[in-house]
Amino acid sequence: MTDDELVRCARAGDVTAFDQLVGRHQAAVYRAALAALRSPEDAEEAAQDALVRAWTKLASFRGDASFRTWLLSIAWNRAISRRRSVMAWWSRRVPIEAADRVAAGVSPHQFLQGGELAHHAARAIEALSPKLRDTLLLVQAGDYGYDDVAAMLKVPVGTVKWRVSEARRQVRRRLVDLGCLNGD
Amino acid sequence: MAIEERSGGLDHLESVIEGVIGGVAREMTSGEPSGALRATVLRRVSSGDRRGTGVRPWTIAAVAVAGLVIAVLIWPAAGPAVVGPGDTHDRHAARVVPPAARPSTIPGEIEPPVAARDVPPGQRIAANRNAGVRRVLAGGDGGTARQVLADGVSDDRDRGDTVRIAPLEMPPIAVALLQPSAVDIEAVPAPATVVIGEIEVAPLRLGETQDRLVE
Repeated sequence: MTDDELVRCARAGDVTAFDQLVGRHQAAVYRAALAALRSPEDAEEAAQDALVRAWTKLASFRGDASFRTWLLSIAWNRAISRRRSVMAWWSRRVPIEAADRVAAGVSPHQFLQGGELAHHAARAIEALSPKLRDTLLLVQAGDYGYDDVAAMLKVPVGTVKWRVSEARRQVRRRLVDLGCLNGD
Repeated sequence: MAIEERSGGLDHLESVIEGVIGGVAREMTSGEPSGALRATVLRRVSSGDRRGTGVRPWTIAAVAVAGLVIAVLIWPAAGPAVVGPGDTHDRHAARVVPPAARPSTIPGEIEPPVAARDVPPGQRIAANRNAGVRRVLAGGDGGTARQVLADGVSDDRDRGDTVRIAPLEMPPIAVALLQPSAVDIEAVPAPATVVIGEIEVAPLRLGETQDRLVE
């Protein structure tokens, strides 16, 4: 069954149909929340809230966008609300180990000190403004197209592309300032 | 620390850098939800549980109560001073009146609502002070000098039965404030009519004088 067919069944009260939709999109919802919160526990709870909210708001889904895009918008809003809350701020952690895992996969042919570069790149991404960082992470996550990200962030596609470009430029600049690169 | 340019040249280095940035960003958003997510959502959907898992209402309530308690504890030290002629009493001592020393009715005191009478005396004192009940007394020579006294303070002081109590005894009184919510609402309008009476007269006289001068 397609998403549209499952949505129709779910709107009629079919919980099983909605469960299938959850199974299809829960990973994308979770990663969107993870991009905003960067804590697996917070992301899981935000994803859970978003999916339950989608069920309660299913009647308001008009089909202007795909169900997936609509669901991702809800997930992003829930994640951002959570990020703004005091409790989430208090418990937020920076997963530095992510950089180490990436560094482990960098070829020694490419970098003499690749692990350190990945570490600094992670730091530089952390230091970006929330708008640039969120956009970069969502685009790089690989689960979402520019249209999806634009709908989630409620900005035009052109703005998404500019933010990604600007985010990359700032990260590169920071790596140069840290002495990781010889120049632009 | 600097990375030496390799045989691929600057373009190659740039592409590698871009790859690292992309890889780090992807890693930051990589991961799979736990297997319990789908089951939990299904359970909540089936049971009609729509509560969010974010900041619970009780958390907000707890923060609000903590803020109130802190405000009440700070208020006695930062509030307006009650000063009478020849008054040399310690400010904290003048404000705190032991429940046993306070009679149920004092002449001139604003009668508390019926519900307030059922509240223990210690709680009533705190509740009246919290409601900000004020009385305005005209000066003895008919002038405009006014003295704003907190309710219950001048009467107790005039009788000389004020008892000094250490500030550490305040917290139990402050906690009692949180329980009687609607007790003091009816007590507020009574003193307000006295204040308005004096304020309204003066501007009218000034206006008539100005009209005569203009004519």
